[in-house]
Amino acid sequence: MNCDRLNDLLPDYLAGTLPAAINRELQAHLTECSACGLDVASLEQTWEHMAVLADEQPGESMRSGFYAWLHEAERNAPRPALASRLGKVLAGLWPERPALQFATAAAMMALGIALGMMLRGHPAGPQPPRSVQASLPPVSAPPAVLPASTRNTPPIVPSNLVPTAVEQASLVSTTDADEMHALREEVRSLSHLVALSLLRNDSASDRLQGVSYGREMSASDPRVLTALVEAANRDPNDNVRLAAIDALKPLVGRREVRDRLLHGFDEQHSPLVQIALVDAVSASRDRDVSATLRGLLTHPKLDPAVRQRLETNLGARS
Amino acid sequence: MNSTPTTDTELMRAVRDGDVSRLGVLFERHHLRLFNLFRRLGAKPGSAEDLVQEVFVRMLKYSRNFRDDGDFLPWMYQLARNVSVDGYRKRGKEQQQSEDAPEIVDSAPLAPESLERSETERRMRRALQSLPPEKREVLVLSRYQLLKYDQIADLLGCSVGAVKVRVHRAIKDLRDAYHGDMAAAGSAGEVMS
Repeated sequence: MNCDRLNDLLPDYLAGTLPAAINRELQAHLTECSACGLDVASLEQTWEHMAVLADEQPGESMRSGFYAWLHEAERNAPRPALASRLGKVLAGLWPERPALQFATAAAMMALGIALGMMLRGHPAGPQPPRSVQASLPPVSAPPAVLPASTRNTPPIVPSNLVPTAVEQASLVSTTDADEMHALREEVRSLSHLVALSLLRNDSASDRLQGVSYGREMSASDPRVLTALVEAANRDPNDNVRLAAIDALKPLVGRREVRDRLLHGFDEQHSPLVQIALVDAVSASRDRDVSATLRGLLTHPKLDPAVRQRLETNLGARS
Repeated sequence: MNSTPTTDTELMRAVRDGDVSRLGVLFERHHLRLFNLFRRLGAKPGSAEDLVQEVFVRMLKYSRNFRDDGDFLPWMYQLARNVSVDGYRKRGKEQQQSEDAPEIVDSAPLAPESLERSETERRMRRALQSLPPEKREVLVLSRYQLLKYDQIADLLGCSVGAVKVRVHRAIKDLRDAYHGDMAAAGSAGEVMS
């Protein structure tokens, strides 16, 4: 190594980023060349002394000033665009487990294909599908002046078999209604899938969201209903259990729902959840509910608060 | 599920997408670094605080420019650099020079070792402020902000080689200023005695 090369390497040497082998070469040169040795020693000393300028702390007013400004900025910030908010909601629905991701993706693809097939039949606005178009004459008004050759020509199809414009419109709208129904079913099926995915998620807040989604569907979908009962009886988080019981409250009139909820009473360790369960079941007007509630009073190790609530509810029913 | 943003870059993306409150987390992480950057570049404490706030104001103002594949730290330093240059222009060179002047220090008596350290610190600050801004800047970024030479090159828009040359010249100038001050102080002490 020579003196010029050393000068080139000096910034890396000071920063301590020289590779070990080159560093050894440089050190060897410093012992051989006294001019370089003295020069580098003084530069190193200056570099080291720079550390005396330690970090300083700003005044507390800087923080308070910043947060005052931030608060104002938050108040004045425009709401995120609808697309952005929708994107966040959809991203929040995306499950973590690969299997559920795959299932959701498959359902989305099925929905996309169904939509695509429907839209292919509607190149410009709502029109009947090709099969209907082929079987029907055009709906548009006939020309004002018919060609002479056709003026007295009898129609090929008897007039009583040709649908009127109103009938055609009715046929078209019926087909559209069918397609809309099919579309609604697809969307509903997808929503069920999302609700079920959320209910099986590891995150309690996601399961709470799943309960919220499942609330509307539990009456019509046995899978969602089972998942909600499962959540009410076995979820590791009490808040999810409470939310699931609340979601099932409108359905306690159905004996199977009531029985399945009460079946899990033994597994409820939180008096709060037990009280919610008692209240939910008490909401049913069925006569046998009173007997069931009285049966719970004989439960060993019943929490005094739960006992009191049972007695209150039984008193209100009598 | 989408997780809470935790990295600087994720937080900045959240700010860009409308979650302005995330700027508070970025402030807590970086205000000290920025404050000391401005202090060592020559701003007085009050001015340095204003400049830090200005960096965050610009972060919000230009958040739309923050790309999905962007890296937060270089972007923040770029904003800080612009704020510093604009602040220098706005305040004018005269005021800047007055900021460069040595600060009045507390005259309370200090222990001998504290006195020596305080004197070394004052001399180093004076020597650093005596450098031209472009030399001072590379030393502050490499020695105090611990940026690598390639990061500094990106920030300054020049080659890594050019940064190294500038660092080399800057440290030599700093040494001369620092040791010159030491020698002057030594000879003054001799005259006094």
